[in-house]
Amino acid sequence: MTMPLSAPAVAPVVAARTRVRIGYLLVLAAILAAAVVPFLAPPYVVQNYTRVLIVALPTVGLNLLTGYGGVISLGQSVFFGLGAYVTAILVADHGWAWWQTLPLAVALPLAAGVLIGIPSLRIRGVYFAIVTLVLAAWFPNVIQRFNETTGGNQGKSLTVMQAPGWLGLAQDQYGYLVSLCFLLLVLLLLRNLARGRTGRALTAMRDNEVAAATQGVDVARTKIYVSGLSAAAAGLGGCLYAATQGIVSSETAYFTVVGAIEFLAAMVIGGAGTVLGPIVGALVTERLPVLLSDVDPQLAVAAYGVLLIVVVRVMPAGLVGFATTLARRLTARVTQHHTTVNARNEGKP
Amino acid sequence: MTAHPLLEVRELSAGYGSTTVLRDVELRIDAGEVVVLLGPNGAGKTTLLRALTGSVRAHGDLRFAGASLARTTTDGRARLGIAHVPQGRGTFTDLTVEENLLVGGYTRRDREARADLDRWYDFFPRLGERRHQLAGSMSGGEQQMLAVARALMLRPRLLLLDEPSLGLAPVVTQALFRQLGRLSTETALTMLVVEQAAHLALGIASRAYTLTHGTISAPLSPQDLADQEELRRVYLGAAHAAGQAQTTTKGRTAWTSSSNGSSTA
Amino acid sequence: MSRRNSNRQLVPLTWCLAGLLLVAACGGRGSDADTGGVKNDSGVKVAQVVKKDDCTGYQASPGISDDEIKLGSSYPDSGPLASIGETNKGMESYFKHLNESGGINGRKITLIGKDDQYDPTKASANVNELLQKDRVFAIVGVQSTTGTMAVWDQLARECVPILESTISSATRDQRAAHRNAIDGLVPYASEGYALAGYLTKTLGEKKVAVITQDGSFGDAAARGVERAIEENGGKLVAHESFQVTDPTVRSQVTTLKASGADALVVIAAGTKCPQIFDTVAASGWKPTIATTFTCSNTTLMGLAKPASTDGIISDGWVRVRTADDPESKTFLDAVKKYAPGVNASSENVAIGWAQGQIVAAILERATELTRVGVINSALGLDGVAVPMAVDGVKASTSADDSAPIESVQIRTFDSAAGAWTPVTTDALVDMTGKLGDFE
Repeated sequence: MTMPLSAPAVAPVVAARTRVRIGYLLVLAAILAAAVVPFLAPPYVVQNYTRVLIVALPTVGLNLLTGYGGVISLGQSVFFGLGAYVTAILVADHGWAWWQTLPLAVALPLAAGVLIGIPSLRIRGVYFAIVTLVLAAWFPNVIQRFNETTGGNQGKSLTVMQAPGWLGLAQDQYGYLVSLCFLLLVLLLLRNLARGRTGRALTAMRDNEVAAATQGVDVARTKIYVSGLSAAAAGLGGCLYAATQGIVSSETAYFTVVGAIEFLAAMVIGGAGTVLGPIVGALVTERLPVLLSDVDPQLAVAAYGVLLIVVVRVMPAGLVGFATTLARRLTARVTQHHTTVNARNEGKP
Repeated sequence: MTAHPLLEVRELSAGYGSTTVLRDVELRIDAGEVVVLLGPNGAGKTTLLRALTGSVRAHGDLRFAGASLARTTTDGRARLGIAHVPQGRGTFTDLTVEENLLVGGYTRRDREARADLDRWYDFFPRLGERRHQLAGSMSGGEQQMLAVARALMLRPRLLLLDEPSLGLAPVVTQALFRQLGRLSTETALTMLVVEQAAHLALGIASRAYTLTHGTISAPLSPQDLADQEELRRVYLGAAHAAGQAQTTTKGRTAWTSSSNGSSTA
Repeated sequence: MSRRNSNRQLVPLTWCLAGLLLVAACGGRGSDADTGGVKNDSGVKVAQVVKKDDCTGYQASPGISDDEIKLGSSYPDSGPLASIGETNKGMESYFKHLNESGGINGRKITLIGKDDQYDPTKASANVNELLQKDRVFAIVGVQSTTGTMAVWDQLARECVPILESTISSATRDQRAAHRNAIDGLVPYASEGYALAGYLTKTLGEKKVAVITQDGSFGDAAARGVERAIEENGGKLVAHESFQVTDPTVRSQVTTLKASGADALVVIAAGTKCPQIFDTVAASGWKPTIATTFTCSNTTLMGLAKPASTDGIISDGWVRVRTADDPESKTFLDAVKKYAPGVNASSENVAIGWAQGQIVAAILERATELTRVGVINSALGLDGVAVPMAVDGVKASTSADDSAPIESVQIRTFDSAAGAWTPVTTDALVDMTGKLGDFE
């Protein structure tokens, strides 16, 4: 031993492997459950959960920028809205199919995200949050200002996506499954990104920006890149939103500050910097207020607020972070004996 | 060896905002050298290292292997091979040991960087044992090892170390300098070490500078240091035990106790 | 190492999902149909504008039983625009009041309301849930145009009635494509026409200016204003618009004042109204001001300085409640009883009560309580009296006219009393059947 060090060595290799297997099975089960929902639930429930899947997309993007990157942005509603309007306008007024609008509905927010990313290099922390908040507050006005094109507050209606005939799916089922596929795809991309070079660089930057730069991380480029990606995910969500909901308007909450806050809340509740956090968060922020509202609409707002504070106080790593810790403790207990024996054996050269 | 020194600094001044910390600093480091920078607290040692990495505003002539660094950003300098182990270690606490090292290898291809991992796990076995542990959960000594290994992942041509002994137990500090000494002898890595534990640092140094109130001294050889009682008193402190170090013919000092210590337990 | 070790292999999972999709695709979901229509004794024969065969996935009479008619509504019950939702409290009070005297031929009306915070997405989700889970017969009292429009395509296909809901800025073509939707308010264009008509025809104003809120409401109302000015030989000398979020309207008012107009039509809503009145007064300009019902709430009027609002002209189709009026008394008693927490003096509550009366009339006049039967009944109102409406205002519709109320009473504001008084000459403006002219 070269250095005398005090902390005990822990290499619970077996526990880790067990965890991988359990995690794998859990995720598999969750995806299967998610995939059968549209075949068992009535259409309105399917539509409600379609919105959960769609809201998860800007949240996944925000998680990359804020959860991993530490850049607090409240402008995600703007990119979501941009994507939605690109699709709505092209489908309603120019006769495009919704999927044809997809590249533009992603590219335009991506470009906007890159532009917003540039000032984030100079304007930091809460100041950048305020700048993006102003942008989010301003966006509905822009929709109104150009109401000839956007339909203003009355909105723009478009034909919702229809399943190709050979699939035999109802429109709500199709919308749900398409959204689910895109969400899984984006999650997969994000997961690879977060666990690869860029993700490591991002976390490094969040922990210690100067140290990251001295290790050769191009902080400026990484921030701008991630800002663009984050906006692109929101744009994709917006595209799917327009294509499944059939109407966009300056009064649509997701395009306003309310939406920006919902996306942020979803990220925090689910667990910033976790892969699955945005989905859990979207589920809570999208469905919980509705369930509470069925009891009492006025009280619901207050109850929801209190609940958010409690979650943030008690589980700073969000629901997913909390569950992971809990699961680790449980598996650790189960495999404790096993682990110690194996770790001892494996530890020897 | 090239005709140019590896690092050449002329008329460097640097500071924060309107405060100037360094004035007209002149410094030269040749390839393969270990240079120690001594000086009291607040003299500007950390600022000098930051000026070299480009993370504070600086004016003056900075040349690395003969090329000016004036227009090179911090990450650009890292790509040129200037690695920095900052004061307080600056490990990425939310990343695992292995991920920290991979960020260290950020400027290189991922496959190349991964191939280097084992080398440093061998060199710092403790890191190998804890490769999947979050850096934030490790002890100070382990984190310092990690910070050094992370900087080495860059395959640096120049390693800047800022007070690596800060906050470490003496026995841990000794072990750390043993490893640094090994690096210097085995790989001829060029280092600039800022250190309060001067007796340990001088042990592996070929030359030294002192920095006082932002002004740098002329280069001193270890012999100069040994000869000047005043310097010894100021920089080496009362705790210094002269017998611990012995000067080699090359001007480098090895620690007699375990310079050939095995890296495995 | 928290997030690192879970879910390593999403790729094969995606393939699993694709396979599952194929399997599931062959299944599909069956639909459950309700049985037959239900006869209604008090039915009135009307033209069959909409036929069963025009509908897709048609269900005739869900939510109808021998003793109940289930209706659903989506409206803001929380959030900044919750006051608009007071309308539905008035409507619900009317239904409960009606149920005490036997409802609709022995069937009691149950109204299930859901909060949408004025968000069209939530309105759409609410309506779908009401139809599929609560299995309501029809949708009533959706309070935002966008909210109504978020569902009216789907509901038009399925022939689900949307009664007394806000579509007041819709164009004639939009209305024609959605015959299942019946307007709950006077169309904004008609209201603008009535106000500007009163200014130019009755008062003889020649130079009129208009200030509108950006958006479909302002645009629709402005069309009616322009039409009336043109018909009566006046001139629209200036038209300014503002955004709800503009901090002030000073620059707009300055421009309008500079135009030399003698009369000003204010098309606004909420707290922008008193702001405009005060800004006009402060500028030293003294035009004759007429404003839409969206500004006429006495609470809103009270927010402006009394000198700014005295003599302002507005309109309404719901009667001014007075102590000696029997309908007013019934209304106030019922609201006190059934919605005790609600401010009965709010204009919105009275409007909701009147809307409830129109819904009841449509249901009562349907020959059978099927969705198609009710839509046709709604399009066949021929001067039906609405007790809460101003005397002389009748509900009339036709195949091409989905707005039951197109008559308004002109009123002026007495800021000392804080109340509206009907004018004495040309008080009632009847625009029945004219909606198509305002485009």
